[in-house]
Amino acid sequence: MDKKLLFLDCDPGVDDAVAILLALACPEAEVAGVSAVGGNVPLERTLRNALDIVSFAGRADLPVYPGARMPLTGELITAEAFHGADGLGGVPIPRSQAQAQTESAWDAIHRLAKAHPGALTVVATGPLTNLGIALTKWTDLAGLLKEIVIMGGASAYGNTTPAAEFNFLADPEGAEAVFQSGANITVLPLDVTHKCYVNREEIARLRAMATPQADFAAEMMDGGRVEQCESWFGVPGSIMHDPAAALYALRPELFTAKTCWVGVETGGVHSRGKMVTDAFTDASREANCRLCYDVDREGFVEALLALMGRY
Amino acid sequence: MSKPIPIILDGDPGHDDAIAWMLAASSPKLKILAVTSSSGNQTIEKTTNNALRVMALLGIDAPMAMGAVKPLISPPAPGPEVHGESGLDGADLPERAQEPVDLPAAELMAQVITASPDPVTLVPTGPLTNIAALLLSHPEVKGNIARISLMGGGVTHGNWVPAAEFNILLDPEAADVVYRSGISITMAGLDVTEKAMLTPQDFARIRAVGGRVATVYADLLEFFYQYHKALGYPGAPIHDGVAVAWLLRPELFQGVEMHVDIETGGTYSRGATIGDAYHVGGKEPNALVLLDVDRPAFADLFVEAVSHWKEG
Repeated sequence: MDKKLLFLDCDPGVDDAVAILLALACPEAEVAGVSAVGGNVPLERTLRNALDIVSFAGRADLPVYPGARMPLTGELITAEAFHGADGLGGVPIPRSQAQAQTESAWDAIHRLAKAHPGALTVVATGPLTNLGIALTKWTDLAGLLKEIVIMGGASAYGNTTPAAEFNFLADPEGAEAVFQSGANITVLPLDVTHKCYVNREEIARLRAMATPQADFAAEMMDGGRVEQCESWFGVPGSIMHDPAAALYALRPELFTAKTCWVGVETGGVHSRGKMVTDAFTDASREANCRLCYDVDREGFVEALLALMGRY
Repeated sequence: MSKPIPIILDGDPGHDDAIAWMLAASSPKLKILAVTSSSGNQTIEKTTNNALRVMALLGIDAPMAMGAVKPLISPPAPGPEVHGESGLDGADLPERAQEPVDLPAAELMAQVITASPDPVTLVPTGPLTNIAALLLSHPEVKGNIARISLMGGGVTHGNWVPAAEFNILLDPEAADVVYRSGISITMAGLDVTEKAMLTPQDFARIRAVGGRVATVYADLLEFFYQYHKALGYPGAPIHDGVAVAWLLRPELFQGVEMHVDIETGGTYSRGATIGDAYHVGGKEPNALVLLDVDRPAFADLFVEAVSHWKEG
């Protein structure tokens, strides 16, 4: 069987870092490239972090592409409160000597998609600026991609404003451009990512692997994050938003999804960045994606631990 | 027994309004001070006539006023097919036995609230136009309003469009006035009301009570169910009934206090009720948002309520 061909578009970011480690550990997947976007922390940091994490995973050879510094319109919104000033919660990681590519994220995604028509899956775990630009610039891109797997949105209860989840709030126009592009899309909103948590016992199992990568991942999941997830969201463990998207790309059978319509609100008084969907209503529209709303959590955690065990 | 809770019924009957009002009229725990009509499920003329016919059927002895012809700024909405041509199709109701008073709904409400020795609870089950008109024109009566127990919205999803529920979508600006009023709100939104179903078995129990009221309500329920059956519901969601049932039996419901904002703009979100379950917005809760119901006990309430008119 052919390996799954992935491209990771991200803003590391604590949970992006774990998502990258998981994708690079999977023997059934080949990662064609990584791109960074301004998001959890500014682009300089996300690009640096992406280079460092890829190298830390033993793949310093993997090309890392720079993406957008700013959302399509509007101001940059960051999330240092959750990710720390360095984006990695202050967890130290060896510096990579590798340099970012000069080619942009949007051109690299298009070039790779064209080289592998119908085969490339983009896993997008940051604001959707890079993909929004790519799909606007390259009108053939939507038809060339196998799938876009997105972490973002919430059908109810945002985590950054009452209406909006962070990634969609950070670039509502980018997200809306992606959803209305005609590409084959699967979205993992907070509905499912809040079920993709790793509890203290499971973090201890990760730590017991005693590899630098497992230690690093365990440190990022721990260090107050469990308490934060419990007190803010009532979730009894460290929420793994972005690893959920990576694992969907690798093991979709762990997830339950429904085909539906999603739009991203770009206006409004209270709703900018809100994911609007007909998945749970009587008011149906023409479908444009699959929305994951449930997961086999134990299977998710076992898959995560098995992949981390490969380091 | 403690004093009954004084209430004002403001709705757009509408099958589920009529069912909610029956529950209210049956209970000695509630005292209906006034009834007002809103335009939503049908035109204001039709909902006003329906309100008067329901009052005649149930023997509700209270002044009635016709509500606003149209929302604050939105155009009047066409009546949806769910309630039929009259707005209350499917049953043989008596003709009206009284005429509306010659006052706007907001004015009748203000007079009744001012005259009440005990704080009044408002029970709006249609678009919130009349309540907004009351709060804007008579801010001085706010202090004598105990609570607003309303049917509207949904913090997890809409029904008329993906993001918005019908009552809020028809007049988002009015809803915004109500939710920012500072008055405590109990929100019976789609989150709970779509679970608050009466099933065909329940219709049969109601019919078996016998008498005119039971027959009318069994007929109304069967008509109302046809629309929902086609959508795949195992019963008829009695949306508006929740706003009254919560006043009688709050222990049948589960809810969360949270801040709710009303979206009045946006491309997809006009009319959305944005619930801040994670306290990320920094505003104090303004609503008890109902999220779940003990459905069998909810259904029993209506069977018992109809028995109030058994000898008819």
